[in-house]
Amino acid sequence: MAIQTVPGLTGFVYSRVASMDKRAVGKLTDANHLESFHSTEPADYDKKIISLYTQSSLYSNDFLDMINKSTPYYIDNNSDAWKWEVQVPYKFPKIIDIPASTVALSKPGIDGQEFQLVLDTNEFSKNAIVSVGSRQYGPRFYVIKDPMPYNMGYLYSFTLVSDNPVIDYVSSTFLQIGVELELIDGVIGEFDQDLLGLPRLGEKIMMFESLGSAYGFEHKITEWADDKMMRDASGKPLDILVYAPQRRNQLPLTRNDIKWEPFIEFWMRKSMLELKVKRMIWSKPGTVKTGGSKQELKRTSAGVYHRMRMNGNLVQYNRGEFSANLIRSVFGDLFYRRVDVKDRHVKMYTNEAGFDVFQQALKNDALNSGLTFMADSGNRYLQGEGQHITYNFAFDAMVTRETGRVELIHLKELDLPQSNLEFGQNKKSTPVFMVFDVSPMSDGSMVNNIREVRMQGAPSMTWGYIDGTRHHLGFAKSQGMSSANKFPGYELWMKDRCDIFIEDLSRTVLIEEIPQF
Amino acid sequence: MGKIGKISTIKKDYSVSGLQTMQGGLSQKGLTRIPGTGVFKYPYKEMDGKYRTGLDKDAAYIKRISDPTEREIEQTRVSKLKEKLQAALGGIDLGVRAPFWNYSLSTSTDDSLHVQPVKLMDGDNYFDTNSPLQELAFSWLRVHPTIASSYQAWERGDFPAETQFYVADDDIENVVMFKKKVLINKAISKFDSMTPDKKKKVARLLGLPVTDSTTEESVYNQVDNILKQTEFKSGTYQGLSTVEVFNRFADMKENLLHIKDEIKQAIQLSIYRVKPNGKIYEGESEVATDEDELVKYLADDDHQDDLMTLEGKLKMKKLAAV
Repeated sequence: MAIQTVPGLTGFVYSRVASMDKRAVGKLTDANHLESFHSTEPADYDKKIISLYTQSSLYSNDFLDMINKSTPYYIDNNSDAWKWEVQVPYKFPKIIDIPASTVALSKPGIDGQEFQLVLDTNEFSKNAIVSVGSRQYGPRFYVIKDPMPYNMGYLYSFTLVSDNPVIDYVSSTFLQIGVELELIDGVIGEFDQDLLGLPRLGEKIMMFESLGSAYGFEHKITEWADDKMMRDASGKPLDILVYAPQRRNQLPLTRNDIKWEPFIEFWMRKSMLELKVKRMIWSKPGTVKTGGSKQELKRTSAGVYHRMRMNGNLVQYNRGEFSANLIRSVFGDLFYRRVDVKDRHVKMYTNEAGFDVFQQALKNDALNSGLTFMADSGNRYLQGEGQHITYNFAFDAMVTRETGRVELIHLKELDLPQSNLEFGQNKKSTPVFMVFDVSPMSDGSMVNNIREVRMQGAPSMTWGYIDGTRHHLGFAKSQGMSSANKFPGYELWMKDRCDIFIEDLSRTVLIEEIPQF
Repeated sequence: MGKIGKISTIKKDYSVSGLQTMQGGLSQKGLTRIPGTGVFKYPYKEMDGKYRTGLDKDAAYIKRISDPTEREIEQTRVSKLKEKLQAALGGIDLGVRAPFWNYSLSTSTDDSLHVQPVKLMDGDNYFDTNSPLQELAFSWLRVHPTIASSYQAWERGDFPAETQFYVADDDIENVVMFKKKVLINKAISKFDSMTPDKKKKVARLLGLPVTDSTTEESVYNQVDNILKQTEFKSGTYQGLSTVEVFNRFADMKENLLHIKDEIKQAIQLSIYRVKPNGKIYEGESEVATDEDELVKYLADDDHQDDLMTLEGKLKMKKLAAV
């Protein structure tokens, strides 16, 4: 039959059609099974298949296109794991404890009074002057002796730097756990022999990750099933419908096999790809045991969503409260003191619901910005005239000083199927924005920050056939064949083991609606 | 110096599986996420449109607190805090539906008429309660559904396992703990003053394995141990406060306590059987639709003969057991 596509519906490939039962094809095709797909039917309706508009697509494969642009990482040693180092960003020394002797002082630091604090590092040495809390508004403490180890930190003795020492003392605002300090000056007198020490070295940490478990499909076909020709009386191939994702701008795939095996093999390959994409995005980290309890421990590794959610930058906002200011504050914070204003840009991969909230947020922001939008500005907002005016404007990008250019890209993988967990009138999946790389060196895509990982000895998936009493290439090859067993037919299998890895999670941001608890 | 509010990351143990994972690697270094990354939090909006502000004495999470004392402490605390913060912030409305809590209405990071997000980083995040804005932030963060109310609450399973932060609020924990300890000590002192016979009756009704031959010391130790637990871990009263259930029996009229105890023993010694639907049977004949009905029946003056019969049967059964 002719392949049908329905306007507004993407993702279905109508290659073959089954009778109306809901049985899965599963692991085995025998003759009865195959016949039952085409059991005696009533007369054909003239359209043969009516595709319902309300059917939803599964997803497309644009994620796979993107990941394929990154160079895969191949593990080439005697291990399932790999390691890398991460540089720890600099953190200012901070107060981690206030000794009781300081707490007891009513006016700490008054008239040259010494007081003590516990900091988390020992990088300030005798004669140093440090600012407390803020370079602008914070007081200055003078270090009177080198720090001493003290439980988890270092005990410092300070005096207050002041022009009015008899009046001036340290406000309790600055004597709080968590307040940060910074070296501002050093005071060396004529007879001082203690100069300042150098600050601490940069810190890096070694990280590990292991390859997750494999995945695969199998299917057996009996020789009686293999003997059948999938065609009708006039010789036309019979139709079977399968659900299969479709790449953007790709024509629906067609199959006109009259033998069952080529079709099953084609379908199995597609299923392998679909599962790969699903696990790479949505797989949740954890372990399971074969058979449920006492057998082999198997690891499911995290897909990009869970990696970003658990270990990267995460923003969860309330439904209906996405705003342009949210983007400003989130990315403004990430770029601040890291990326020059001129080099800032953000590419957000999102779903259709994400486009909706983004455009609405920008429209609200623009209309509240104080600018006056003139309806009569060329064809910018309104087109046509009289009774035939088209209202037509939406923003799909914005530029702010804090963020640089922020633009959206539709990642159809994120258009999730609707679920009963999401209450509300809009059954469109909730908005989610994935930012794969905010660094200035990147084009914002996941290229080389997110990579596929596999064993070097298995750089792609493997597949094969276990021939029983029928060769997988058909009857002709079954004469004098070498059989693996006496199963009356043959078996196909496909298997792969690969994972996804985000090199630098600090470059990523996940923005999503907080679920209702 | 003012109080410091603290929200810390939950350190999880990933060593069980023995696999080399990123989570495990971070955990070994005392980290929970990639250095430099953080989680942006906004006040949580309930499905009914109310915000969880941490300043609402009628909030659902407060109503759910089963312990009445704990609930009252929390209601008083949040009411006072709301008044204090409203005054400190120039009379701004901090009601549960106030526009203040809607971050999307905020026009900039300087907008003081609307709440600002908080970025929680790995480790300890401190909030100086001397500063009204920080105290405000701490108030809504400590009731946020993605932040466990305490480490123990996360361990108990009151929050999802994937929760990343918890409130490390020693003062509040201390006040609640103090009140609980007072109640426990009062209950123990009440138990002390009971007759040995009543002690055994109460202990049996609490579900403890106490018979007529159990020594007084053993009864005391068992009841003392259970009162010091916050809640029953198993049995009929699973999940309920031990002190509350104890007080229920301790304050019961003597005759009712006696009847309840007799029924309890009759069930234990298989004179009565309780079917899964709650009905009580003696042999094949139904005695009562539930335990409460049987208590009422035996407490009635007209049915004292039945009570005496039950007492006789119990005595015989106990003798037979010896």
